[in-house]
Formats: sequence, structure tokens, C-alpha cells
Amino acid sequence: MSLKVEGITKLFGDTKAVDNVSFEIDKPSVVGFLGPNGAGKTTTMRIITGFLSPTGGKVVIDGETVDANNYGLRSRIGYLPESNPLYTELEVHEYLKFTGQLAGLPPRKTNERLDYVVERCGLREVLYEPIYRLSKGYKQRVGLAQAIIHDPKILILDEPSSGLDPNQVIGIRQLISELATEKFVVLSTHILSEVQALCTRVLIINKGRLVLDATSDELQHSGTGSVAVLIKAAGEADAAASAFQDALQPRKLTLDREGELISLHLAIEDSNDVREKIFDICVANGFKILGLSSSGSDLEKIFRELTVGSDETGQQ
Amino acid sequence: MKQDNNSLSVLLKKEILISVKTPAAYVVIIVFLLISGYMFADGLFLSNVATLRPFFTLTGILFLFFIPALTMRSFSEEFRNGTLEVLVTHPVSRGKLVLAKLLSSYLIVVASLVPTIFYFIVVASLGNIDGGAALAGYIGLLFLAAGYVSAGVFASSLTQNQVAAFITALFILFIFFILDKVTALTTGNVAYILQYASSDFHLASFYKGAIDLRDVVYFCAVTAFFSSLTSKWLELKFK
Repeated sequence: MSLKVEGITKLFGDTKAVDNVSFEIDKPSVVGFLGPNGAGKTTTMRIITGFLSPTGGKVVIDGETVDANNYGLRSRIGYLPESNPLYTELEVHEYLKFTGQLAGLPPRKTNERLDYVVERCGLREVLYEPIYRLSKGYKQRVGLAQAIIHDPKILILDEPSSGLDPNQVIGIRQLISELATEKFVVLSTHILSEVQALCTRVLIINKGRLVLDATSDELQHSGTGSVAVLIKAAGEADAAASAFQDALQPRKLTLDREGELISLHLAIEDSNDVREKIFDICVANGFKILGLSSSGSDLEKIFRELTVGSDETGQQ
Repeated sequence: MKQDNNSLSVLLKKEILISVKTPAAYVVIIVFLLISGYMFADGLFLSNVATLRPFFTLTGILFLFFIPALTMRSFSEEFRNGTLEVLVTHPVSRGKLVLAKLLSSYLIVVASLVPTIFYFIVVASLGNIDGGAALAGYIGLLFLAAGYVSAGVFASSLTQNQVAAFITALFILFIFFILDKVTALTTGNVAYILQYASSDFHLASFYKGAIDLRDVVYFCAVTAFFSSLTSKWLELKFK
């Protein structure tokens, strides 16, 4: 099993929505797809599922190229589109049976699978309700159930947790994590904590280009940790700054002074714990520590660094 | 490819389920039956001839409005709700998608014609009706409906706006309807071609009780033309 995205490019008129994006997934895992609005996440996912054809490049699943005519390949993909379109007139069980059988489930297996997804997605109590009567959270779960009912090996989930309340979000994440033990899951999201909670690999896309492809471990040790210190010092702020500068060699140091209070922000090169050193510096210089906090890898910061200045209202 | 053969019936089942659950189809059928019933009863005793021909002619005209009203939803609604994304990302060919849409709309048209058999019974009870001509007339209407439905589904595949789909379909059908009425303005071969391309011209012999292979071919060709046009158009649209 493998999913290969080979240099896909998509043009809408003159706009490059996706620009030469490549990546490969070769083992069951959750890959998080991150990017500002209009960066090309949805377009990339639509190309993987065969809904759109790429202008250049190709998507290869198990050695077969995804295209409009190779529709047999689609039974191996489960897809939850961003807007989660549903036939709202149908009842939940009718809709799920329909999509399951359309994906190629034989009729005798359909009920068994329906039972499974209804259980896993918590749809038991709304099974015979028409979809238009459901809340957004239930609708989202129907969409997810639709994506997994035919037991596909590849799951493409475009913002799976949108519209869910915090408890439901945890439930869905748990489900996705369990599915990922045997499936390739690609999910897009705006919620950075979701990526940290779920994904073993992170792809960040900006203005159609892939700007980061890293495992979660690599991100944890990517050297973008930071320490914030609030001290009370009688002397010059510069003296305090240089004391920290000399002792810790931070990548970046910012300083804010308000009366006797100095707050310092240090971006440090590695993930070593510098809190003890900071204590020593303060003792040696007679600073009084009022606050000290350190954060390891900060995905939010990486995200901002890589995508800042991007247009907020682009082509989806 | 057993699994793929199945997809047409799965799609068709869904179309029918949705039609049954939404009021749109019922409203259209009821309006059709009310108008055709009123017109039928209104002219029944005037002609003093036991024939369904006025009913067939009238129905041919009603189809110009009735069929676009039935087909306007078919693809437009899928576009507007985004559900086409669900369909297209499942293992089913564009041809099957189009065929399911055609068949489901067609079935509704057929269903709406079934109650009109009552008109036949009424006329038959009043006089000596030509049963063969009536049967041929119905067959003619079924062929006409196939052509009109395929044009209506095509119009619906052009836009996500149902009103626009309705007007486009009405426009296309009206052209087919009007062609043999403007032949007086032309001469020779042009007049002949216009006449041959018009739907009414081919219906005439059905109403007289004759099933001519040329007329059958004409309606089949129109149906095939719009069906494949829809299928091709969908392929282009999602390039």
C-alpha cells in the first residue's frame, strides 16, 4: 500500500492553487495538512480523491494513477469533503447504506458495516432521523461515517472536527487515531492543537506550495523552543540583556522594560532545559525572578513563520 | 464488473427515495394532471369524436413546461448542495450518473401519465375509440418524454440555479417544438430539415396510430445526443 503525490499543480485560470506539491505516505499514520485559508489544502485533497484532475503531476495509489476514468480506485478512498455535503432529505441509515453500496459494499455486508460505523460515530439514536433535522455535530459524524463505511485504506478528511463540541472532538480524535493503526489518514485542519494531538507527520502548505514536511518528533526538536522570563532588576535593562545573551546564546532575545520589571523573551536553539541556568544567572546578577515559563516546540510559531503575510482570502 | 453494474440501481434507488420524500415531484404531477384533466374535460363533448388526439396534442405542449420543472433539480441541486462531490468521488462512471438522473425523471413522467388512462376509459365508454391509435399516441408521448427529459437533464447540468435550468430547458424544448411552425418562412431543403428536426412533426404519425421507424430513430437520437452531451460536459466541468 502506498499513496504517492507526485508534483501536482493545479491552475484555476491564471491562479496557481497548488504548485508542485509532492509527498508520499507508505505506512498507516495520520498526516496533518495545515495551511491558512486558501493555501490549497482542499484543492490538493480534491485531487487526491479524483474529484479534480491536476493540471500537472499525478497521484498514484498502489501503483495506479488516480484519474477521472479510473473510478474503481475510488473504493479504496474514503473522503469527507470540507463542506460535508449530505442528502438532507434522506434518513441517516438510508444515506449511509447508499454511500456504502455506491462505494462497492455488497448488500449482505452493508448492514454489518452500517452497524459498525453507527456504533463508532455515535449515531445510534438518530439512525432513523432525516438528516436535515440533525445538529451540525451529528451531521459531521454522518459525514465521517460515510467516509469510513466501506472500510477504505485511505482516508481523506477535510476538517473533520469542524462543528463539533469539545467532547465530540475528543471522541472523533480517538476514532481517527484508532483507524490510523491500519489506514492512511490525511486530515486538514485549522486547529493546531489537533495536529499535535493526532498527527505523526505534519505538512504545511502556503500559497499552493509545500513549505514544511516533518514528523512530529522532528518538530518537537526543531529548535524553536522559547523561554519567557519576568524579572525585577534595579540596574540597566541592557546589562540584564547582555547577561542572558552571554550565558545562553539565544537565537533571538527581546526585552520589554516597565519600571523595575523586565520581561525577556528568548528563542533558544535547542530543546535543552535552560530554567536552571536562568536561575543561576539571576542569582549571579541579583535579579529577582517573578515569572518563568518555557515552551518546547511551538507549532503555532512555526506555522506563523512559514505562512505569515499570506493572503487570507484566496482560492480554496 | 458485477459491483459496477450494481451502482446504477443504487443511484436510481437514491433518486427515487429523494423524489418520494420531497414535495417538488408531487406538486408538478398534480399540476400536470389538473391542467390536462381540465382541458380534456373541457373539450370532450365539443368535438363529438371518440378520440384522445386533443389530449395527446395538449400533453405534448404541457411537457414543454412540465418536464423542465421535473428535471431542473436533477444536477443543479447536486451542484448547489455540493453532493456531486460525494457522488463523483465514489467508484461510479459519469455515464451512470447521467443515466440514473434520466431514468429517475423519466419514471416520474411515466407515473404521471398512468392516471390519464382514466381519460381513455371515459372516451371509450362514450364512443367507439380507436384503441390502436390511442396506444400509438401513448407510445409517442413516451418517446417524446425521453427526448425532453434528456434535454432537461442536460440544461440542469449547466447551472446550479434551478430557475436558470428550467428556463434553459424550456428554451431548448421550445426550439424543438417551434421548428416545423416556421417552415412557411423558408423554402426547399431548409424547410424540410427544419421540419424533420422538430418534435411535433414526428409526433403526428404516432397520433394517427402509425409507429414509423424514422420517428422512433429521431427520438432515440435526440435522447442519445443530450445524454452523451451531459456526460461529456460533466467530464469537462471537473477537469
